[in-house]
Amino acid sequence: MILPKQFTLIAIAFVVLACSGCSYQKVQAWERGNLANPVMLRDSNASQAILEQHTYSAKESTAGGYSTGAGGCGCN
Amino acid sequence: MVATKKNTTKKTIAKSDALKALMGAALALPGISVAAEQGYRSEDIEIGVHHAEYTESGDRMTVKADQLSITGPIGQNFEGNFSATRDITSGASPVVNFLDGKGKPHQFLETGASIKDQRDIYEGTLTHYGDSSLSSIKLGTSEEDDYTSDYFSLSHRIDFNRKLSSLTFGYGHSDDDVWNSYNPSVLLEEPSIFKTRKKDEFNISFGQVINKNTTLQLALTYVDSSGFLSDPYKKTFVVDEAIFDFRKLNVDISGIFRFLVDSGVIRYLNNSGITKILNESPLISIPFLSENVLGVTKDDRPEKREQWISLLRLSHYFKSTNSALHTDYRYSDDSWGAYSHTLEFKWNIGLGLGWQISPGVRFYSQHSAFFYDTFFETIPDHGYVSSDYRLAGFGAFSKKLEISKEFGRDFTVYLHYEEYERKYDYEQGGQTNGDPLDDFEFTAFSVSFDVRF
Repeated sequence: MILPKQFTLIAIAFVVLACSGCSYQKVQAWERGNLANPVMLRDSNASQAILEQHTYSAKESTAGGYSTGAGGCGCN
Repeated sequence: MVATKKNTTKKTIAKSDALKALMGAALALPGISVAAEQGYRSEDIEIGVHHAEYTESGDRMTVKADQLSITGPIGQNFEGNFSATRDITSGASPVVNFLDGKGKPHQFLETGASIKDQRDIYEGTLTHYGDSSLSSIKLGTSEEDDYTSDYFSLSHRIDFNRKLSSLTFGYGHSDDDVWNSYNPSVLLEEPSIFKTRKKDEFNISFGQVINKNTTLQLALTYVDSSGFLSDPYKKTFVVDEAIFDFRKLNVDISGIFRFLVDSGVIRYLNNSGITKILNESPLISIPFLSENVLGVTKDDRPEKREQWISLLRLSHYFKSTNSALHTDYRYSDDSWGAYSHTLEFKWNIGLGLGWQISPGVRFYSQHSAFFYDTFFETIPDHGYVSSDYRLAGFGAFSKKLEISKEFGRDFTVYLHYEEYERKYDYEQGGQTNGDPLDDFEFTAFSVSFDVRF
């Protein structure tokens, strides 16, 4: 398995970000009101989000990256 | 006493909502089901009904899909979800590109009612909610007239750093069977095949609350697919394989074949058994005639594909407009050379009184696979050929609009509309193999109802 160069760079960025998680600005519990606003939930309708990704995967070469576990299809 | 109980319930609901949104926003990660992504176990039973319609331009495909989903708490820490989906596809799909006398490719579509397929999907998900973790297992099966897929996935999320950070590990596996179902209208009906393919998928995802208005998510996914990855219905035109260079005739062969299908000649040959008799003869079987007389060869792809996908998601809240901008960037590379970029913006605007409106745009650009071309002069040294429009170089632009309305706490309606336009010219970073003949558009519309008890 040979990793593409771009993917390797992103993987390095991933590790750096994950390791530096504790150094981000501390957000206290009482400061999380905006994060808890319903508009911060990207996809409030789960069925729609899944259907959209299925449609794209049937019409484009790239599929996945957002969640695991979808089955294949004989889509034309 | 009653009043006290009501107040406690209200507080619980408020807390649940806040946590649900927070967890959903900050930790909506790949590797777990979308239902569980919403982060906090609800004490309600939720039933969702979903209907979607999809229509392609140029008399191509239409799809109608219906889904019923039920989610509910199990015991103290578990949640179960079951969904059943049926989609029905009909219409036309590109099969092969023939050349005219000027060497220009023309797309041959299986049209009319030649494609009709029903897909039934059943999925069950069990999720465990820990103090600082979320684990889930999903089992699913999908069945079509010419395809079955059995799959499962596992995921485990760990929250840390006072729940400002999270790591999710996910694994998915699917075992698929694929074959070509008999259709009397299909040109060049071939002997049945029965093949298998499988897919293993691994991902890891990191979520971080950046500040009181911003969250970040970075995910890496590796997908290993193997087995029969070709399309049993798609063909490729290879000039050298034909006994005669049809360009010299200066005729539109795709038009002739279109006439043969539309006039019922092909249906007669298939239904009368003549095609079958031909296929039982090794020398004049349909695949033999197709390849050696017409130059029409089977879609033939490598039996292994590795994909590496990275995803960056940034969400930012704007207090002045009570809205949030969600930005996604996905980069994918694979061993077929079909790398792609996807950039998407979704703007969720809270309008009050339970209304939310979400305009969005999506841009996708794809490099062609190394074995793709609209047609081939000769079979390449590596031996693989495909003219499947999905492996071409192209770009696509989508405009979307979602509207939702909550009626109290028990009932929510969602509407979704999308216009998608695929164009060869939209590919970024230099055009690769492809052709405007594969350009198309689709519109998608859906409506959903969620009821909570």
